[in-house]
Amino acid sequence: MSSGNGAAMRETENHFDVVVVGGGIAGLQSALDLADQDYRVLVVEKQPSIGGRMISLSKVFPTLDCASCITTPKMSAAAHHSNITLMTYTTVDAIEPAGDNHRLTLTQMARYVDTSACIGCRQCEYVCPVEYPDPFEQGMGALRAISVPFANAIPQYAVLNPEYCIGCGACVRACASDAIRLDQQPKTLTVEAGAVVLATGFHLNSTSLKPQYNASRSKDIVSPLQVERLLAPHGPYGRVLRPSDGKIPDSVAFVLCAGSRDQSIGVPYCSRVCCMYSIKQAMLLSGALPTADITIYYMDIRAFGKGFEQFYQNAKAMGISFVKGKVARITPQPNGDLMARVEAIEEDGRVMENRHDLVVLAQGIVPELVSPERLGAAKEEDGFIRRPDPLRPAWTGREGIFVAGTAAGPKDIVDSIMEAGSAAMEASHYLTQKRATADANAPSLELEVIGAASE
Amino acid sequence: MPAKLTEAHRQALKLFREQHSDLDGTLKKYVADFRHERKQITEALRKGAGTVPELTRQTGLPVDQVLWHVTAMRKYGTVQEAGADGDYVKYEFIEQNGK
Amino acid sequence: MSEQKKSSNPKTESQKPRIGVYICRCGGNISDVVNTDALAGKVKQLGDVAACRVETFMCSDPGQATIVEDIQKQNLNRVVVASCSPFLHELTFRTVVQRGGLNPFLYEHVNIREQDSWAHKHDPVGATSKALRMINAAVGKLHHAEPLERIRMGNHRQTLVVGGGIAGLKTAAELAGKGVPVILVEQSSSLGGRVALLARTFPREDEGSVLAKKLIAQVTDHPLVRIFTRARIERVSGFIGNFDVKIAFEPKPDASASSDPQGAGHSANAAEVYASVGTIIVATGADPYKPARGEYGFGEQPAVVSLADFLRQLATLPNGNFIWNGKRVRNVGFLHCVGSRQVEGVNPPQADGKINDYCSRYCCTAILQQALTLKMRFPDVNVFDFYQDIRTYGGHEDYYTKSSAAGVVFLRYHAEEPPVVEPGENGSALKVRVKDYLTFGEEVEVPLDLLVLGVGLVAHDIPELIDLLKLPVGADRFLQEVHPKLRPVETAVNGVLLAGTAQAPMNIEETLSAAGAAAVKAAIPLSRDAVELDPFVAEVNAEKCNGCERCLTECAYTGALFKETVQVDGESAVKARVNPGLCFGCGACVAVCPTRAIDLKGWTLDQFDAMIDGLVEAVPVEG
Ligand SMILES: Cc1cc2nc3c(=O)[nH]c(=O)nc-3n(C[C@H](O)[C@H](O)[C@H](O)COP(=O)(O)OP(=O)(O)OC[C@H]3O[C@@H](n4cnc5c(N)ncnc54)[C@H](O)[C@@H]3O)c2cc1C
Ligand code: SF4
Ligand code: SF4
Repeated sequence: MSSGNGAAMRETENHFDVVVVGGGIAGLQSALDLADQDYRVLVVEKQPSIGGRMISLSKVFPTLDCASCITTPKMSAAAHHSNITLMTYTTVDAIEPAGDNHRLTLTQMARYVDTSACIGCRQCEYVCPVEYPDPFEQGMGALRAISVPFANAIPQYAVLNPEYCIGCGACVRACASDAIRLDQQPKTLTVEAGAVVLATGFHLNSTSLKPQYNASRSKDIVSPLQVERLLAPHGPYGRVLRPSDGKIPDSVAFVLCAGSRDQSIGVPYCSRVCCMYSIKQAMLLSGALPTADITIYYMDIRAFGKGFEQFYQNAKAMGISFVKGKVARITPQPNGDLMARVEAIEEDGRVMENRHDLVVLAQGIVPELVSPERLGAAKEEDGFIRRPDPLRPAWTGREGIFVAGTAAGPKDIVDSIMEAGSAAMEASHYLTQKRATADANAPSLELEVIGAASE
Repeated sequence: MPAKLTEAHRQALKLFREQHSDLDGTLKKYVADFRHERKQITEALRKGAGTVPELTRQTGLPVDQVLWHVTAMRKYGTVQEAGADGDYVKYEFIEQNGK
Repeated sequence: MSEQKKSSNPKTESQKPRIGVYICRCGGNISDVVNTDALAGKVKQLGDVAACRVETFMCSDPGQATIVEDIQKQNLNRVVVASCSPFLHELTFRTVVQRGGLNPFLYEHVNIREQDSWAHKHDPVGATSKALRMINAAVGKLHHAEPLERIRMGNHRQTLVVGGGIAGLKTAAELAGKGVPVILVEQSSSLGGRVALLARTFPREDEGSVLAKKLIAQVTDHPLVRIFTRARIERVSGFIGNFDVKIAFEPKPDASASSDPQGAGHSANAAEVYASVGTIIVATGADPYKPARGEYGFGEQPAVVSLADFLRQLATLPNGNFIWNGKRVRNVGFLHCVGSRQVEGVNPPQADGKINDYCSRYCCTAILQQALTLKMRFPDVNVFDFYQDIRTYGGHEDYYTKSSAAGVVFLRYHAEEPPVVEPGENGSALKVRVKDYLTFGEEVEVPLDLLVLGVGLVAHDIPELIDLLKLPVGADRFLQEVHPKLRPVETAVNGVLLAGTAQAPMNIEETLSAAGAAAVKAAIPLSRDAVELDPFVAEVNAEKCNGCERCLTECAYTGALFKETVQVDGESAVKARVNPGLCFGCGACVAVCPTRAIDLKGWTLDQFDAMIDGLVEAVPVEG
């Protein structure tokens, strides 16, 4: 029984039409759009599961679809596609030209589990005696030293975290399939590709860039990714609680642009999605906590996409309060309250001190890939992957190397999906041109013209 | 193959322990703390359901750690919610059969 | 043209049904309301249910694997999944069933989330009982299910692109580059659309006409692209893989009176083009909002201009003093959100009675780009910017930062209190009265020599095309995609795709990405020899058909039903027949047939009867 790999990678197989780097929504969409045209595609994902950020979101703006409900079909379609091979827990470390192709150096990290034997039954996880803060839950829940990463992970293989493993061997004894390999070592592999799509995504910049918000001094000054998990149906607490002591919050504040639009921290640009996800989170919170006060401190509400403005107006109508103001400081009080000092721009600039018990900092979106040069691309001043040709927004300027999604700049899911399609189109165009020898079966245009048409 | 370790398993375990020897004892300390805390919380819960602040008072552990343990135990099926007390959820221990 | 294979899967035919029922908790979305364990207990007692399981996420890999394994190990021959909307996962599970070795149409999807747990949040007992009835109906339906095969039809492996702006040009260039022949139809006499008219485009300050020219060059000489200008789509029929299109032409401006198309030699003006294409891309673009006469003084005050006019003229002005229409200009205002983000009761409705409540996305950046250019070229001009929110998202923020640094003065108004434009005093052409929320909501008066209206984008008016292609249109009048998050370029009409601002306001870069995405979705079905369609079409039982032709009058789809003369016992008889490619499976014919000779495959009358029985007979689950 296969647990995820549509086409299992054979040892000897090392040439693909396209390698997609990153298995987030952008990478998966590119892979599907290429595989559906019968190109053979390898998706390389650093994490133990594909799905990227999107699989960890609660619901998505502006449709409020449940994120895992709309991401799993994509993940599953990619995993079971006969033209797609998945390699998870593997990084792409270097991409170099190799003749007409690209040679990619990959490192497959040690899972300490033989994926051809693991059936994802989780018996190892049930007997493992060590638990640590679950990265998928942004540290809020627990994960055992060996475990399947999360409920709807693809593929469903256990992974052992050597940082927390005490080497007791309980899992080895518990595994009926004898899949645990404590002597597994990281492996370096090379593959060749006709074309490459970089879809390496983003992460959020550190809250320490804004010392005035004191995130290190209170567990209740949280990241928006934590709020996504708090709101997810299967989240760490099963409901919304503040992480410091489990209190059901009664006053939640969002501080927008808390890591963007600020030259002094190196992020002069706007992160594009935080206004919208904050509005979304505010709406979901007001559903989960009907009596709580919810405030969004903002500079500009950037609700610019299709259906976004209406979403924003709905949030206002629901009673979420929008305050145009600069948050100068957040100070944790000894009793756990958080005092926000706000200059209310629309109320004659008066300074208010507001009490909240949960504060969300809209951190800035920065590229996950630090050195695109190593993957055959270049970067812009802002650190995202450079796209020099205004007419080919998916092209990195390097032969056969394309980019999709947030790897090229902050953006939301639908814009990532558009770019992913566009990158897939550019790649298939490129591959066709590359192969084009005088083809006897080349298609020709068929139509019937009666009279002289204007052309 | 379950339950009994073969020679190959033992070799692998040995290699693993060598490669991940906890030289400065960080992991050892983490696991000792983890077990101690988990035991205290379990004992407190065995006396009856409680909220996170109540369990904190009983155990003297840091409050955020108490929350983390209780919700971890909830995930792995040894704790469940038992109503609420004001702004806090009450948690109760689920006695496991045969344990 | 259709070839329908008969399934020969031994597992699925004429066996006693062994049905597997899978109930999804949906991570709590369902099980927080529906008592899924109690439900499973009851389902197990239903006739012919051989397996019933509950999973946290049925769609996850372990969930899918369970179904496959059960089919194989427990010899299931029919499957029901009770989970979320079939819109999300029906296809997922049909594929799973197929992986298990069954015909994918021996599968029923029951929606116990949208139609049950979400609808009856406060009635868990009722919701659980409803779920049982729904599952019972599906089980009943499956008793009468037959293995079906998707309909395979020939495929015309070329694409029609409607619209010759950058979206249309980009899709054509990409498809042709991939080897797909393209017919591009443009209604005007030139290619390039609006971009060709832009002096400078953000964010790279490229010249619009240069960008357009480059794209035009890629398609005009391409052997796989045929371009028709002054052309429009006159007729479309068919379906994915097999659209038959007729293209007609506008007479040349200088043409003499039209000639008789039936006449001997067609004149240049009477040309027609016929083509069969597999996919169609609609790239008809959007228009700048045209303010009503008097809206912010537009059309009444000569000093009020639209952004589009302003940027065209600004590019042609010599440096030195800023002279506009012969007058020296010292104070210029820019007004955001003209024709966008309108509020009911504040802004008068548009011609169709609706307001434009959406944000036009491109204009904030376009306005600040112009404000900045103006400030750079004419530093002593005072620039005032009247806005609600500055939406210079992503890297466009640079224009905002630089405009602020260059001394543009910002004034923030609220949508409920839009600025008022009045004739000026003391030598200035205009005066704008506005409550500025950046200075404590104080009402200020700003004298201006020129006011630029930052007009939004409105959907291009294409009623004929909407009608011909049966395109869905949103409340904002833009063409509507299937799913605004996951499938932004596909429409509800299979094979018809959207590229660029026909779907929603967007800037050039976004338009080009959308065009690439539309191109790939057009290329995918064309990469095969045949297209496959769902088998849910009508089928006539010739034995029962008495040739009354009632169904023919009822059918709304041209060509879907036709009559045929056949020999029965040596005599000729008229019988109805279905063209499966053209049938939409609406069932109108089924309803009027007096002899029950027509059935919809996958939705037969027997199946409906069984479902109704299933719904009424189930025993409610106790709390
Ligand atoms: C809190 C929050 C809420 C959001 N809510 C919404 C919402 O409601 N609606 C919406 O539309 N958008 C939302 N977004 C934005 C959305 O998350 C992104 O648009 C989307 O996830 C981008 O997808 P991606 O594939 O580009 O990147 P990612 O999801 O980051 O995927 C990139 C993948 O590449 C992998 N990778 C990176 N480097 C390598 C390497 N060298 N080798 C191999 N693999 C690598 C990563 O592990 C990752 O899996 C939200 C964002 C945040 C932060
Ligand atoms: S999207 Fe909104 S919150 Fe995020 S940086 Fe831009 S303006 Fe600030
Ligand atoms: S982009 Fe700016 S000017 Fe345009 S409608 Fe949106 S908020 Fe208004």
